Amino acid sequence: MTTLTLEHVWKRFGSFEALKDINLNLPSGKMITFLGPSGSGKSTMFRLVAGLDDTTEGTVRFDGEDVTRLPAHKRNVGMVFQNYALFPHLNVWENISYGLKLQKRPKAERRARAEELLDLIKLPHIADRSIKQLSGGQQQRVSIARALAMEPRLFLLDEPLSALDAKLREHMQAELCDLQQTLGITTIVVTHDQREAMTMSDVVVVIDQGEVQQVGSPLEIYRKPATPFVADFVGSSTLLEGIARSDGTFEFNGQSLKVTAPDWASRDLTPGLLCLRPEQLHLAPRSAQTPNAIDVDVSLIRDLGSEIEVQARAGEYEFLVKESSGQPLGYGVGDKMRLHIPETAHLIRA
Amino acid sequence: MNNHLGKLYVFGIALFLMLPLIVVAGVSFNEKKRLYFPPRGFTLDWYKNVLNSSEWLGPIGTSLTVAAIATIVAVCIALPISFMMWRHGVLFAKALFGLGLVPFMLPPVTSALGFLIFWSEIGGYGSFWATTISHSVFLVTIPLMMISLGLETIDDAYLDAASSLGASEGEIFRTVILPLILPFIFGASAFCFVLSMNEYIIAFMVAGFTVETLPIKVVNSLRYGYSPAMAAVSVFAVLAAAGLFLTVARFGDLLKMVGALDKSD
Amino acid sequence: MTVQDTTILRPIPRFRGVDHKTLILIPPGIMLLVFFLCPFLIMGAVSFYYRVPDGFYEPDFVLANYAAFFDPVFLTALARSLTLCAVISVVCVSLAMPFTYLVSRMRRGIQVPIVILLLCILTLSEVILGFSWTILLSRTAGVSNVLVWLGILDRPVSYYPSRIAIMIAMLHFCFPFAVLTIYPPISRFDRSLPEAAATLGAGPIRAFFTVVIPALRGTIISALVLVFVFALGAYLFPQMLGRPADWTLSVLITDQAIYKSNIPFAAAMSVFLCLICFALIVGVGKLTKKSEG
Ligand SMILES: Nc1ncnc2c1ncn2[C@@H]1O[C@H](COP(=O)(O)OP(=O)(O)OP(=O)(O)O)[C@@H](O)[C@H]1O
Ligand SMILES: [Mg+2]
Repeated sequence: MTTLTLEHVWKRFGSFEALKDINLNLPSGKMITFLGPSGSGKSTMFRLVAGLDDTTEGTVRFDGEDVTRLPAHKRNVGMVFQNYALFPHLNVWENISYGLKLQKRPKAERRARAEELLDLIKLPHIADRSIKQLSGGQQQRVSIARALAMEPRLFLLDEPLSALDAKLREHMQAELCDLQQTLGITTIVVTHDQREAMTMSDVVVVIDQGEVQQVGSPLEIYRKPATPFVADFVGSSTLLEGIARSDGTFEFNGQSLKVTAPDWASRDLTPGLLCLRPEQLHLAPRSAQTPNAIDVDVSLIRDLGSEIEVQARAGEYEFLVKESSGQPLGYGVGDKMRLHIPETAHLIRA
Repeated sequence: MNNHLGKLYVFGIALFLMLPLIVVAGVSFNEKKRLYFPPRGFTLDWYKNVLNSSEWLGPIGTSLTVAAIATIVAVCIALPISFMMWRHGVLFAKALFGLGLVPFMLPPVTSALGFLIFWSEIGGYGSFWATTISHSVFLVTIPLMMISLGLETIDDAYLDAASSLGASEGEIFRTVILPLILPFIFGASAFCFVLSMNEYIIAFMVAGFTVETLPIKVVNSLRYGYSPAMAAVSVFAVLAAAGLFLTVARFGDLLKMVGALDKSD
Repeated sequence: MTVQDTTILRPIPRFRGVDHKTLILIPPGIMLLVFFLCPFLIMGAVSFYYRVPDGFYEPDFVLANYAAFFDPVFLTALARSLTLCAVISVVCVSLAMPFTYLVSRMRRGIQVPIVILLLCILTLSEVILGFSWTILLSRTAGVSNVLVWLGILDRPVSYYPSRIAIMIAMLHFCFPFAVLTIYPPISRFDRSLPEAAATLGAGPIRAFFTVVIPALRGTIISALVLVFVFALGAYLFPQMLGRPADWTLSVLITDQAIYKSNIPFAAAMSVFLCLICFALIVGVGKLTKKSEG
């Protein structure tokens, strides 16, 4: 069990800043995901943690110990690569026990350890197969076994599931979680799939353009996004631009909405964004005079069977509302409605 | 229909390519010391003749030695250059790589004349080492290109994987890179070896007749008239080349070595 | 397992410039610079040396060796070499394109033997190939006997020495080289292009000429140049299968260097030949790069 700490870590490629002043303190024994769009610097951060690249500035610590200048082969970090990177000239068990062989452990011990790991990944009978004879999913598991063979301090997986089909992916997500819980090893998974991040992890680190946007549990990330980027990237939302006041009102479009005052809105007139999630919203007829609501026009209705998605418009803003499909909606496209804004809506500092 | 036309074309050309070899093999079986085709009579005496006379065994031995040493030297020159260029992008390695490709771009006569002048200036003209070293630097293009081709097929992720599993630079080279490029090294060596065995102009220019390699010996004998023994020697040369290339194809992907893309990639 | 061994630290990146690892380049560097670059430089110098009439040379700076190019013997040999090699190159590449394309689409089990055959011929000495062709084109053992047997000829004839004989032998010699230079790009060539053409109704032959050939224009041009240069290197075929009037530049260089002992003139011709080849290869390299980029 290892805690991972990054302190003021910078990474530059020439003049390009791939990572900007990263500060992270990740708990041990947890399932952690790095979530961010393509090119945001996830892999870069990963490689710094594994020691495959040098930091330009800053410190990387494992359990508080400075490993910044320790080369990759001395860090004991288990890695799973996107295309698995299983050595084609070695067979399955030789791949798994590659690290042990470097340590000149006896063959019997290496073989035993490989079999043990093959049991763990539920592929007990393939020890002597060549890599070319494995399916994608099997290669994936073998590469997991190989990374775990040395009992690494950290277990890192770079987009491990992106090459698998949807069904297998869900299955592997569950298995990875099980595996992590069984071993209790600090595990970091890189992904750009927000669903994957939400379902798998204890802690999500959202990254964009080389900067950490937010660190938190999946629920926190979803309910209380720290930045407009997080609100937009994780789940769908509508962000209303306005002014937050310390008395718990949000000025939007000349209207005053009642919300829970965030702690940063201590002074008057702080610009803020109100984050509205589809499942928080409800439409009511204009005649109902719903308080804490804004006028909208219904622009689209999509019946998905399990629920109904309604799109509504107010000026340049577009809202997504999820209604249950149990009873009739009672309104149609083009109808003028009121959109109720719950007081629990989250305010983001602009 | 078009398919058959295509096959006919390919096998027609293949036949044209084999024609001289077939005729040479044929005349080597002539009973009398004349070159008839189809052969008159049948005998293997010319082969025995070649294998028993020091007249032929000497040059064969010389050629084998020159080729073996030249091949080893060429691979030893090429391996560090290709490796440093590929792994570390060293500028000096790139320059040397470029220099090593030059023999490939020039008619061999020009290199041969360069070697002739060089070795006579420094006093090695006519020595065994003049022939061998000239061959090794002349042929270095082959291992340079083939080893680089082999290195290109190695995914960087293998190296990262190895180092995350605890392998140092040296161990990565020994346990990952070397096994993966070994077929290419082997292929390049075979290619180099056969080329050196068959090389005439440089061997002739830097040693005249003092280091008598097999091709020099054949040319000398041709001056005194043709004999089926020469055909037998030629058959040996062809068989040796074919045997080596077959072995390479058995242990590695020959098509990949000559630059084809692996279909499974 | 914990990491205590922090004494083994990696060098900080900016000090990485000269690494002890690069020292491994010194032996190969010496080999190539001393035994390959030096000979060419010395040859360049010798091409300006003064030729002592008794057969040797002494350091000097004379242009006589280059002036000797204006000798009609040299000029005709030059023109002959260039046209011969140009013809060989065009014929070879034209034959090799469909050949390579067809072979690259065949089963592995056929491709490998064909590549082995090509490699064998490519690596065979000109000595042995020349010897084979003299037999094949001779009166006693050659193809003319087959023609007699078929009733086409009355009595066997010899087809060499002749220019046609040289051309056939050189075609045979250069063909494997041509195939192996275009094999990589053709085998990597996107199969879906001719297939797309086929779905649009082009037969395989039409698809080859309208889709494959235009798409591989750059490859064809560089193959033409490489085969041309390769053909310039032939030096035994013109001697074995031709008359002195058919000798090419490569033969003249050997002749001047070995039999006429005029090394400075041979060196000057050699330098000239190198320059032609370099100019061609570099020029075409630039050209194809531009048209592709
Ligand atoms: N070796 C390098 N040299 C120059 N720029 C690089 C290098 N490696 C990465 N970058 C740049 O750094 C940025 C972050 O790259 P990184 O690979 O970390 O993205 P990522 O978040 O992993 O994206 P993806 O989801 O596509 O894998 C990108 O803009 C990339 O172009
Ligand atoms: Mg990435």
